[in-house]
Amino acid sequence: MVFFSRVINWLDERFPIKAFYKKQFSEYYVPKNLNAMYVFGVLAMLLLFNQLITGIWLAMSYTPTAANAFASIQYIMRDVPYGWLIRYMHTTGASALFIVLYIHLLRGLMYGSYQRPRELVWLLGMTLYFIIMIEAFMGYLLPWGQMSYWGAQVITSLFGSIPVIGKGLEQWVRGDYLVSGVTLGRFYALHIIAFPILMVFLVYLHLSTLRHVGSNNPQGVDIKKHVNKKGVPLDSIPFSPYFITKDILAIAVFLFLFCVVIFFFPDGFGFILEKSNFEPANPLITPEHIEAAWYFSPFYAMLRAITFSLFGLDAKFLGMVVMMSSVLIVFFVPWLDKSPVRSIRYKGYLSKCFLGLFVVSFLVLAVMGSLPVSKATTWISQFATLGYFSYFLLMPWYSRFETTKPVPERVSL
Amino acid sequence: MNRAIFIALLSCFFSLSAVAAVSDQGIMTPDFNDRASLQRGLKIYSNYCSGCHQLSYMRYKEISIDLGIPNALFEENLLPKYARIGDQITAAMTPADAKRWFGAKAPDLTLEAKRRSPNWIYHYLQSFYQDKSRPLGVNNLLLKNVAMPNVLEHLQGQRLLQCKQGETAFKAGHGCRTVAGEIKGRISEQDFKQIAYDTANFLAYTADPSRFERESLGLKVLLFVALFSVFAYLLKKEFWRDVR
Ligand code: HEC
Ligand code: HEM
Repeated sequence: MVFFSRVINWLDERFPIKAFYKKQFSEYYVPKNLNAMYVFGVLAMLLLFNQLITGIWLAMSYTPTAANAFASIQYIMRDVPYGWLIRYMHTTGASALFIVLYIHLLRGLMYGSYQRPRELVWLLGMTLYFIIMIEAFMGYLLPWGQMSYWGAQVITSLFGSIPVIGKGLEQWVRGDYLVSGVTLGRFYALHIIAFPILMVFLVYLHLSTLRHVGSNNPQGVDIKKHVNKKGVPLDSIPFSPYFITKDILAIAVFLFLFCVVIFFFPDGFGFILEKSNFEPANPLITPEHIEAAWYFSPFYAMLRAITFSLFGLDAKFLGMVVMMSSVLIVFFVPWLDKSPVRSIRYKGYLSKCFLGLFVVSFLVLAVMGSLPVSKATTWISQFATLGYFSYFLLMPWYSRFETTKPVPERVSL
Repeated sequence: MNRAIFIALLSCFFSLSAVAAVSDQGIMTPDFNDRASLQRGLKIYSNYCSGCHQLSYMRYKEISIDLGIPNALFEENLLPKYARIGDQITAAMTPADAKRWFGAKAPDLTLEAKRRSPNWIYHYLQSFYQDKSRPLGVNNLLLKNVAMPNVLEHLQGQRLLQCKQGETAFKAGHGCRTVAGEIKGRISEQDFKQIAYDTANFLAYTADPSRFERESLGLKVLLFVALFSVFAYLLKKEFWRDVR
């Protein structure tokens, strides 16, 4: 014990770890009414860490060439000791990260966490989400299965639909006329080096901006209005040990579910590992229906929902514009929401209805995107796309004119 | 609470592995604990399929270990003359030959059970029927204009297509099935079903050999995480007692 504290002191004289611990843990104050929705940020961090670590181990045995990529995955699964565990942790981790992020985002929308003064937290979070989407898309090509190949082919071909510069851009992205070993090589480099660095950096920015302004809470009450003599908010608790013990519990429960999937349902019933990806990529045979990974399914549905040309613009191009807008519009929520209150608990009926409409539309789109195209799925997707966008585009109107409930002065548990 | 859920989950896993191998609706479930079945499947593969289909992601050695066949016995009886025990299982016929002879490549079967399903393979092997219009004289209800000969025909006997009036095979929701033809097989229908089952079961194993290790390790990990959760819960409760 004495030795331990001497080491700490030695370190502290050279690098202020004690001050850091105080500032970020024992004397960092969070609202005491944070509920279960507030554990998903930490879970996202855990999963990102999981992706980084398992990714490094996968990279040790993976071969990024068109001829050997597929076989090298099987080599990892069969010949590398515990290779199957590492790969399943990586594939299941990717899906889990998206589930966790969708809940994290929904929490932000529900409690108005994007409102002043947390706009920057929101923008950095959305940038992170966008980058994670690209990261996942590139990673999906690496196993070089049929669906990997054709998914990449379809999505990169979207660049080709841009008027004038499209064809050139498409080739520039692929590095070839079609998705090929060249594309695989560059996706690999970006997937394992460039984007991970970007993500870690953005997580750092996301968290430091959040810690500068402090967490919101389910009631959207500003806890900094009532502070004690030392300037500590009355309705707060120190992050350590209170919130940390809650996070540890959340991590334990999450890990249990995570392990159930990894050890007993690693294919995730075809959602985590698709059946057609158990067949090596074949550039000569187009699969009958090309599916997106489940976490892109809502966006894929919006892409396919646009079946008509407008103003001389190609339907495919319009579909891409709609798909891109559906992600970009989320960035603007802090300025679309004109409500005087933060939390959905005190907003009016309209806000509640529109948030409900948004969630339902998103889920419906997710289902539609995973089904083969038919007249019915196209119709339903078009309606759901309208539902999705109306939540955002009508927000300036309904959030301003509805009657809200009074927000309490202090938080309640 | 935690405990109840855990026990429920546990019993769920055990009952999964205990359900009947082929249900009344004819859906087969692989049973990796049935080593005899896996060994029979390996024998069928070696005798009837290995000439055309590879299991190129699988090694002989891994099979001998997983199926509990002693190395020496394996080398003597199951290992082809040209192969060594550490080799991957490649076929005598190259894919290019297959393309020339049958007009289609004989696909690698290592992952077939994941790409289709064990159940699909089980029924595929039973769905061949006589069709004079095809070069090999057979067709298959599950794979239209199949390029594979019915290599098990002498066991199963000839099968004929029987459709409801006005129906043809390969239409969605067709009312077709196969029935026994004149030339009988060498074994009974029940025994042939068992052969199809063993083959499908064996291919389910080659597609997912880590399952043995995975599920036994999984139970231990879950037990640990469950215990950890209990302690995490108690810790949190202890600390949060004074928060109100
Ligand atoms: C004479 C060579 C030959 C033999 C022996 C053979 N097959 Fe095949 N098999 C083929 C060919 C060729 C195809 C491709 C059929 C097609 O695409 O129409 C095929 C296709 C298959 C498929 C379907 C692949 C798909 O499309 O999903 C399965 C399953 C299969 N074989 C299993 C077996 C099994 C089990 C055996 C042993 C009992 C066996 N085969 C023996 C040549 C053979
Ligand atoms: C890998 C990606 C991400 C990580 C690791 C991450 C991490 C975190 C963590 C640890 C917190 C604090 C704990 C919590 O409130 O849950 C947090 C808060 C927050 N995050 Fe993220 N986040 C990520 C992505 C996002 C995304 C995509 C958004 C949506 C735009 C977002 C928006 C927010 C907001 C608004 C807060 C503050 C919430 C509040 O105070 O009510 N984050 N994030």
